[in-house]
Amino acid sequence: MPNYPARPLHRIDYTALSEAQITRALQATANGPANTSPLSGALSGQSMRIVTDEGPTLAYDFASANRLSLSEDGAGAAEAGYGAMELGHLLFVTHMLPGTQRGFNLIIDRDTNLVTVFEVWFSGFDALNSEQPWFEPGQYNREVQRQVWFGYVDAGGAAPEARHRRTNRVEGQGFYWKQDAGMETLDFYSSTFYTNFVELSRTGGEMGFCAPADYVWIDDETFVYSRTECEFSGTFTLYVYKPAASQQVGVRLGFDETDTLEYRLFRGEGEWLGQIARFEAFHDYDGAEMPEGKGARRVYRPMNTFQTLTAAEVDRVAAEDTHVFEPSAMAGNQQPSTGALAGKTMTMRWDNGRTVEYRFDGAEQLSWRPAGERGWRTEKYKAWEPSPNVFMFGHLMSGAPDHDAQIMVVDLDEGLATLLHGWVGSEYIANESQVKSVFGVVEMDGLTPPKYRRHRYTDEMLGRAITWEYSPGLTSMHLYSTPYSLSWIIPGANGSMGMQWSGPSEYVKIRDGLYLAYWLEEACNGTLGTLLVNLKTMHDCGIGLHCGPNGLSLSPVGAIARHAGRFDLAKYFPNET
Amino acid sequence: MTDQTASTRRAFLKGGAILAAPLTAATAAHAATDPAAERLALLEDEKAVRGLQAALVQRLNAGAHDAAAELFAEPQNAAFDPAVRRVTTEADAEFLEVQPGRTQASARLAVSVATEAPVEPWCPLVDMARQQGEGVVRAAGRRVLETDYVKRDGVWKIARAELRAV
Repeated sequence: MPNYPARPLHRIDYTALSEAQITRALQATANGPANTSPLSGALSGQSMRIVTDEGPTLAYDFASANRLSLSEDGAGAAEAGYGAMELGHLLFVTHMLPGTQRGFNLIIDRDTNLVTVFEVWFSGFDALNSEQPWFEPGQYNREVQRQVWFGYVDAGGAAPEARHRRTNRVEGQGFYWKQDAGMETLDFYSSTFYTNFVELSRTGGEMGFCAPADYVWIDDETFVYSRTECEFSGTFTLYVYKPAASQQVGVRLGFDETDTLEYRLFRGEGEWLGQIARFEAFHDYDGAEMPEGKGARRVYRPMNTFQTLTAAEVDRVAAEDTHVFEPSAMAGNQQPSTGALAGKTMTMRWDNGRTVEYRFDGAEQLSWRPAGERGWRTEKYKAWEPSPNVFMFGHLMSGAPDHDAQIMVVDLDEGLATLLHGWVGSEYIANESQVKSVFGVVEMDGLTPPKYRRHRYTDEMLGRAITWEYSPGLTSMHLYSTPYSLSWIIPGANGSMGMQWSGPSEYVKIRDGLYLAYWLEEACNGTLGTLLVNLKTMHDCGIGLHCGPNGLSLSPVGAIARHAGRFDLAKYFPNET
Repeated sequence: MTDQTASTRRAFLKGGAILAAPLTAATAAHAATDPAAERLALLEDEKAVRGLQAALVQRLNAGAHDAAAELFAEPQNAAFDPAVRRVTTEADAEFLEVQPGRTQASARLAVSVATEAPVEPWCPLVDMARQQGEGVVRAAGRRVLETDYVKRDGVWKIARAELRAV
């Protein structure tokens, strides 16, 4: 039975924990992390001096399997609880420093003596973000900060020249993981500094979410992954894993939605989900460069830049400034629209009980009326015909109180239609678009539609990754990581994937190779995006609905596609079609 | 004498003998007064013009448009394409001509131009791309930096500059 949360991660109003609250909560870490699998005693009785490049020198004495003392850069020693687990030749060690909000996580390669250190701390957000225009102090103390240091165990003699390093080698990889405490996730390494993760056990797997990530090469069989759930709980997940063996060892550190501290050392087993394409040049294995400064990373924080409006402001901007099918950067590569509907009349019978009559007055003007009403309402529209006799078209419903839009796909061979009914305003944000999918049929002269058959939701897009080139200079890659969400990823100039975000979505099969989908930029930019994906032509057409300070807009969407591969996810969503 | 002047000029222009012909004619027109002095003055003019041209490229590449405007005879009318990010000179195809009277000059210089223009109009995806340092259209191509110069109060200034398509 899936464990659906009352609210998805992006709708939770996380507490702005104070530094004092965090310090108090972290007292529980003094004895080390919680664990389910047994700890390793490999370090018991050992001393170890770790030297990092441009970072701290850490002198450890491990008194037992769970107590250590640490001297940083020659300072006085501090005692702490710790936990360690082994993964082949690697030791993963985690500890916090009592009385502080800091800790260290060590990935020690016992074959090479190389070490990767993840220094972590709370209450570091303000120092890293105080120059941002949206900055307010004290809001994100709960967000775990991290700095990756590369170094080695000083065993005497000359320092080794080799180091672990950031990498793009695992970009495009995906894994299912089940931790020893039962937590199940799908982790997609879909960028060089971001990740998409689906929490199957904690949130029912409805949505994939995105977070900044680190990827480190240990050796060709071993990699390190971290993510910090920025914009959500701020929880930090770090693990070292072996892809071939599908095994992981790592730690979770942070406060959940109830502000309960989680500090857990875990071991997990996984399954490979597949590999999608990378777009860097051959022989480019470099990892993402991080911005300068301890802890700095590139984080997409859309709610800090999204200009929210009140309901009254939405009404005002819509009245003053409505844009219908004006040029859009999202449609620089759109396929030509069609005037083939001009002169036709048709009736849409939707399964929600509404029946709407349409009269296409011209190539870009239509009239509509609810069945039974006498007066026609005239709107500007655009239509595309991505497959013979399949049309996608849309229009605003002028004067509708929620600034509704009707975006639909009609198959005039089969008599089938699917409506994406969009409107502006959610229970959270007045200028955030929402949408409802409605199946139905289309009637017109010479076309009698089916009584029972409908377009259907589909999982045929599930797991696919497709790049979309909207305009010169504007490309993103979609990852359809669950049946109900869609993720978009921005490529960098060298083809490596970068910032990533996600939103709710649905997928409807129109014909073989032709799929209707939408995405909602919830708690993001408020846009409803729709697209009709044609895998046979690797093109799409679509329509976006957006409301912001610059007005209400219904805009074309059109891009040229490349198929970037597909993850095999069907078994994790067994009840889908 | 004419041959000698032409020979010197060819060397100075790095192989631009044909393009040098107008200057050769201009020099000849003034040779009757004091050919050596005239030749020296001409070389100084060319040096000044070439220095202006180099300064313009350098300031454009630094994004210092205000400083670049100061090189113009009418700075307030100087306008620069904000998309131009880098101008790289290809001096092999240089042309420089100082007009008779030595108060006006023209030059053409083959250049490579890298441009970077923001994707327009704004949309949420463009905003996200810009946060990553993307959301721009990058292009590179060959153009001709075409410049006219004017000497005022004994000082050369740029009268017009244009990056013309090849």
